[in-house]
Amino acid sequence: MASLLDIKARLKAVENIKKITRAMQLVAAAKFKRSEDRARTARPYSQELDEVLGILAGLAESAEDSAAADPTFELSFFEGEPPLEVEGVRLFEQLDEPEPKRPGVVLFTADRGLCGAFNTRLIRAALEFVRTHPKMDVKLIPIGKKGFTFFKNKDIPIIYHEDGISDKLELDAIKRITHKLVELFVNDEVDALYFIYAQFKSAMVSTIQIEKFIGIPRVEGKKEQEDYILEPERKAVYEQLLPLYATTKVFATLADSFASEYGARMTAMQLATKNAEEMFDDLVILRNRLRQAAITKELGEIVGGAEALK
Amino acid sequence: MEPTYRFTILSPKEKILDEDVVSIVAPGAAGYFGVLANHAPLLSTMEEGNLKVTMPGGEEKWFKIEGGIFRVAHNSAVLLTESVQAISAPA
Repeated sequence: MASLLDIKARLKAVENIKKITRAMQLVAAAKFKRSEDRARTARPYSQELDEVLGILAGLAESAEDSAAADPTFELSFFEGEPPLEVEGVRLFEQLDEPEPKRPGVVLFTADRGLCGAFNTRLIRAALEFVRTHPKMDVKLIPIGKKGFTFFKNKDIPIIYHEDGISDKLELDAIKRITHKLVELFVNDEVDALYFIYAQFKSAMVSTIQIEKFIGIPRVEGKKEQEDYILEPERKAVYEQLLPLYATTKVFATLADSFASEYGARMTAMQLATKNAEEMFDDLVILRNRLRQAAITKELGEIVGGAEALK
Repeated sequence: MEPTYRFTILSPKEKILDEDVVSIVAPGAAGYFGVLANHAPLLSTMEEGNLKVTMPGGEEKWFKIEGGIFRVAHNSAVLLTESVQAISAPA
């Protein structure tokens, strides 16, 4: 049986924990609001880019198309950085494409825990991907510390990892990551890239998505396709559009991931605060009972003592 | 009343403009070009430069952009750019 002093100490501890979880909940809530807004504004941008790319892919190849003469695309992400050169045809979705043999799986997790099952669900999805594709030589690219810590001593090779990305989503950092991912593809270290991330639905709900990163949809000569005027010619447009497209995909994915993470953390901390409150209430009752028992006992002793003196 | 069309400027971080406009003049890959209502479908990349937007009533808005992509079709124009900044008038 715990003594009154023990209970008092525990009460204090629970109260402190409650304060901490409450503070963490408030911090997550503030960050959540910001990242939610960003995830929502990033979506139309990325959808419009998808559409532009679809239009471009659907346009008939014209005579002045220089891609036929020189199929190498130069993709530039940074000024000052030499552009990545890739043979144009590899960037497109291959209709008769065999399954990739050496896919890279980019796993977007959080840097920190205390956000419920957020990281666990993502890690499990990555494990599941590896398990269900036994013929593939899967390589892992964890973005976020939690994914990296989990996989660093496992037998799935990690070819690149990144953590400590600011939730402000600075474009320079995003471009650096995008450049690196495209480089892995261009240098043939992977022959496909998949993103595994938590797509944001609401504060409580996010769904795990697996999406292919590189692969421009091939639009087969749509009849209703408009006759767009193209300036400059196709290849040059592609060369400017593709880095933008890739960067935007990474940006939108990270925005989604952060919004999901803060949503999950906010929910988890809210639950933790509620649990602490319940525990606190139970302990208060226990403390009062013990105190009353002590008082009753003392009274009994006093009365008993007085009786004995008569 | 001059004919207008919808013009939207989007960056990954925010929607900068989403209004009915009369005309724009934008720094395209092949030089500055103007777009009025009922323009033929056009897809163009952008160069660094100043973008002029004329609102109904004649008010002008200026933006400084650094690259991006522009599309117009069916009286709806969208400019996608990573770097855009509202300015008072061109320097």
